[in-house]
Amino acid sequence: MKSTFFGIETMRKAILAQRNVMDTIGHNVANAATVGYSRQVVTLATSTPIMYAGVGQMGTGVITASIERVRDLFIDNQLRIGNSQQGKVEIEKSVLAQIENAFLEPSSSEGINGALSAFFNSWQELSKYPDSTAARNQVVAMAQNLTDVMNHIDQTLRDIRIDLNGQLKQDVQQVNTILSEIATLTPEIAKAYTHGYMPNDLLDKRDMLLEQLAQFVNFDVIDSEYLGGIAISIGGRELLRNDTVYELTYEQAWDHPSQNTKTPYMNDVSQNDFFMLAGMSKGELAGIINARDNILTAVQSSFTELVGSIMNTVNNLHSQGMGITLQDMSQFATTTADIGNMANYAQITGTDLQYFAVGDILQIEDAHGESIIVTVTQTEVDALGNGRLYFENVGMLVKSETDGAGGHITRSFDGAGIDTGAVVRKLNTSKNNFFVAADILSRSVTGDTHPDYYSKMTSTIKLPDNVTMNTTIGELEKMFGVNITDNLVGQRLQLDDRAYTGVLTDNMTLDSFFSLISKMRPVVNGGEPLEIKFDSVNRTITLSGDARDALSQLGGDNGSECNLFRILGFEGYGITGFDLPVGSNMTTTLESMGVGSGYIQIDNVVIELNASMSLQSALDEINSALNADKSLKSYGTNVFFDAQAGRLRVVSPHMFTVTTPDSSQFPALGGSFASSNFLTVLGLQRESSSPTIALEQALESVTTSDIGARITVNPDILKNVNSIATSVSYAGIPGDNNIALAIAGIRNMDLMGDSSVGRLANPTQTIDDYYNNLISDIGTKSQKAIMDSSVADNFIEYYQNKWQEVSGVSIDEEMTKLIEAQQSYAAASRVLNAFDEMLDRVINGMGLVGRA
Amino acid sequence: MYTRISNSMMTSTFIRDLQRNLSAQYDLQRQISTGKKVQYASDDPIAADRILDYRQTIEKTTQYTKNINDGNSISSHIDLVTANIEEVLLRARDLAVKASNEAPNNQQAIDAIAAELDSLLGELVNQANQSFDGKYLFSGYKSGTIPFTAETSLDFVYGSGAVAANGATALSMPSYTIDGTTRQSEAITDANSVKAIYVNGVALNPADYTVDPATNTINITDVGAAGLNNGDKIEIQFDKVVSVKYTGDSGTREIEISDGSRVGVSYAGAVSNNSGQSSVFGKHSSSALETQSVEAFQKIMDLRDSIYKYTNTGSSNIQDISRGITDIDDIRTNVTTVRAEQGGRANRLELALNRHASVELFTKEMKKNREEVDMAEAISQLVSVQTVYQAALGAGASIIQTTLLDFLR
Repeated sequence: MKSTFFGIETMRKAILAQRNVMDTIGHNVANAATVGYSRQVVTLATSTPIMYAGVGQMGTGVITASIERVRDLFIDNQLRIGNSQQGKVEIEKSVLAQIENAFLEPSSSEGINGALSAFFNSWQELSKYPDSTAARNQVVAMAQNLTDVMNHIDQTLRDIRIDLNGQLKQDVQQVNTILSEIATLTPEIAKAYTHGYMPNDLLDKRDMLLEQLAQFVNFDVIDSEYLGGIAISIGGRELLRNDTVYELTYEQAWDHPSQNTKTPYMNDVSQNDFFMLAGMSKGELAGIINARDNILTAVQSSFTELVGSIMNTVNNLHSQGMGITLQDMSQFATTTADIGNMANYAQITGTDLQYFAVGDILQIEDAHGESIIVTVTQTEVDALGNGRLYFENVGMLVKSETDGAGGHITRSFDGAGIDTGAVVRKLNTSKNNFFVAADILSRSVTGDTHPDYYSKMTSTIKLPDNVTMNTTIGELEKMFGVNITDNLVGQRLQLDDRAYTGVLTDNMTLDSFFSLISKMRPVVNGGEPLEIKFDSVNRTITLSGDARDALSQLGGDNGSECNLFRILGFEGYGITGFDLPVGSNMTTTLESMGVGSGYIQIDNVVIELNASMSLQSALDEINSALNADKSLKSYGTNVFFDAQAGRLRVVSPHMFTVTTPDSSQFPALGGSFASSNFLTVLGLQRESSSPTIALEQALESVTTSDIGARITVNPDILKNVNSIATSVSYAGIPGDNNIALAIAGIRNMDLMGDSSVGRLANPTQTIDDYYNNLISDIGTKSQKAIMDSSVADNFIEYYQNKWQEVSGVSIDEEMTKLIEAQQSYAAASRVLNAFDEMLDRVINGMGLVGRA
Repeated sequence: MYTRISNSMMTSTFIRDLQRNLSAQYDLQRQISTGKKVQYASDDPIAADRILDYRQTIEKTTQYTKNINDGNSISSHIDLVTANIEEVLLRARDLAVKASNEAPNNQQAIDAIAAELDSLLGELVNQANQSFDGKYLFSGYKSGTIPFTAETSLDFVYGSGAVAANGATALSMPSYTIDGTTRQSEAITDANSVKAIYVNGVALNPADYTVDPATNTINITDVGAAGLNNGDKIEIQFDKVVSVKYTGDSGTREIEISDGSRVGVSYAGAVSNNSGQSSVFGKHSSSALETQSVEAFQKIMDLRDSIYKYTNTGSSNIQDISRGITDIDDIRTNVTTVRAEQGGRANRLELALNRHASVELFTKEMKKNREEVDMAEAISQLVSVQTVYQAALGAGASIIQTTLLDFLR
């Protein structure tokens, strides 16, 4: 039996349902322009019918079954892929555009191309007028212009790298922000689901965040729709699980802004980040890493090759020639030996001989003030220990002139030959480099160890507590148990080709020793002079100079080694050495050296050492652990320990850190584990009291003052343009223009090889060819990036439209539906009214039987 | 094809299409305002490579053209000077022939001929010292040093045995080798030729010596209180030029006229005895005595002196003058060779210049084709893009504005 109000109840449900529909349409219309909003539809369904005995089921009207988002998961996924792809190519496109802008080719005449032409043409002009100061000034001006352009480009490329690293940091922060927003949504979504509601708007918000995240990095997402849970991972490593975020972090390996910021990794995953990095193939982060480590590095490396080749070749030719003026360098007295009329050598003291070389120009002035200019053909020490400087036979020079008083005098180069009282002057004929490097080029970022590049090497040591600058060498010998002076031949020290002739004694203090060698200051291959600074506050000594030469060749003369440098820890490039404790050798056990069992850490490799191991097996253990580590290899680090002559050597092209491992970082190794004092005992640990070393490739800091100062014209040439070399020999001054012609001809030389095979191994290209290829290569890459970017744009556009097609709000549609709902609402009201009237008849009209 | 169009789909598509159109307009506008279709290498990487190459070629060619023009100036100057030298030598030869036809006793005429030869010698030295643009033509690499110096004194080292204090000796004139034969200086042409004699810088008293043109000797009756020893320096002053020395070197300055190809623009005035190199005025001595002159000048001086002696002493052989004529012919051959070489250089310069001119023209044309915008095309493209833009704006404005709402009451 139906209830009396059955119809009214049906219509009430209908009215409510239609209101729901209209409200949802209102929500849709209100959010028509909301980003990420997907339209919602109300699903209406017939409500449960009632059984009408003998008749069947009777409908009970309508109910609101659900309010759902209209969404297509496939499109969502495609959009994320598109966003990731776009994020990557946009970065690459913008970096390549910046690089193109740095070179300004081919439209600008102010680029390298124009500067190179002007530079070589100025040498052509100089070749025609080698004696002209104007032509020389022009060469200097054009060379400065060239170095300005090169330095500017170099700096711009560095700036791009700095920007990229900054952007990397920002992106990592952005990713973390997005992740934490997603994480805060999770509990709310889950709560809604638990209560049986569909959290449409929250889900929209989460989908939008995922889409934003996709722009930064590609990821896998597991989205368990009806529980509200979510997991986001990259390369199998989770970044987020429900409401927990595993933040991305970056590690800054170097203080200097232009050094690489290391790739991001997760800070609470103790294993290395290899898998995650491998999985990170798209998105801005991948774009930044690719742009920085592949695109930019390749350009910087090619550019450095180019600059280095031009600089080295010009220097090489220039240093073989002579300028047109001679400068007095230094003078030496001749010794007593009479050489005779037909002199062909001058005799000087044996110790002065070191200042001369074959090819030097000498001016020899006799007691009467007459002089000749000769070229040294041979140097020799005679049986008596005197030095002889041979030159071509000049015969006896006769010169006749009128004196002031109308008389006549005949003068000659002293008929008695070159004897006591004659003076030998060494004249500088500017056999110098044309360009000098004022700072390291982009070498450090490429990891290139090509020996042709000049790089400044700085080595800082901290004095042991018991050593001061007043400690004598003798005391040092006792302290370290080594000989310092004994194996130096003649007690002499040698720094490249300069020898110190003083005596290195046991009584000499470190202070006087360092002031002594800092005076030697050799300039090697255009590098910087060796410089030694003592910082009395921090008690450190810093030795800096050309990485290839100055430090490696600091030793005793005749190749003997000077232990002083060794025990203070100064050695060549990338090599640090430490003496073993006295009385120990490779078979000594660690225990007997005072080393306990435990762990050491080198970069991120942890090695366990047992006190019962011999030193040899401990080193084998360390080496094999280092070699097995992927990250050390992928950073190009090759750290190994080597035993030689009772010393430990550590060889590495890069800076590395040696520490005691932090137990909290390595939970896998057990909660508490002992740190081995291996490092402390052998003096390898940083910030300990024993001598420690921080090997750094230069680039300590870039300040505004040294921007644009990477390569400059030799200051000596700026001071005196006449020292620009044009002539091959002294005899050819000033008309000999062969050096100028040769330098101008560099432009037509095959100077550059394919950079993949090594620049000088197989030169097949001129610098112009190489440069054109570089520009065209950048152009091709940039063009491709632009095309990739437009492909990605089109892809996104298509799927955004697809998304809109499915989920977007159409006002027309909503209006139509609104009218439909409105009409239904009105109709339901009308039916309700009919029921009302019907009941009214029953209730109020009953019993009157037609009476009004 | 989309089956359902939403409102934001229409607006975003509209905006994107407008952006694309604007970006096309921007590109065209940039091309038109700069006149270049390749602004960045990415606009057309291959064209960028070519354009750089063309620019390098043009810049090099321009420089080579400048070099050649400079070379041409020097070259024509050298041509002028060598022509002058030939003329001087021709006149000298005429004089020698004339002298050989004169009777030995016609002293006045012969002296006049010798005097004219002496002034021709001066002119020859003058021509040999010509410079261009501040650089001497015939001094090799020593472009800043006057190549030839004419001197009136002979300096040499005494080497005929010691003479006691205040002793007497007969001093012979120094000898030298030309064309394989030994000649002796004929500078003593008469009794008044010698103006002064210095031994180690001390002048001898004119009363203490006599001069004998016939035997080419100076008879010294008193060598002075210091005596005379081997190795002493003797200087004899004459009344005329007796020595022309070369202070340049044997280098040839070159300029580059095309990639790796060089042309000389200077000459060595003289070269040392056994160098085998060619020079304008033959060989010169590198001996310690420094008295020997450059061959060509020594030959002319010898001829001059022979003519003087022809008349003054009567003993001189007419053969000396004949030898002088042959000598001048030899010098002329030398100079002609140089002129021929010079002609060759000028030819190379000319050819290279023509080649560069056509290369430059061609390359500029190629560069223009690659780099420059065809204005007519670009502007008509711009106009068509603009038309589309305006149409899109109009259509968009009316479509976006209209919804169903406009028609519902």
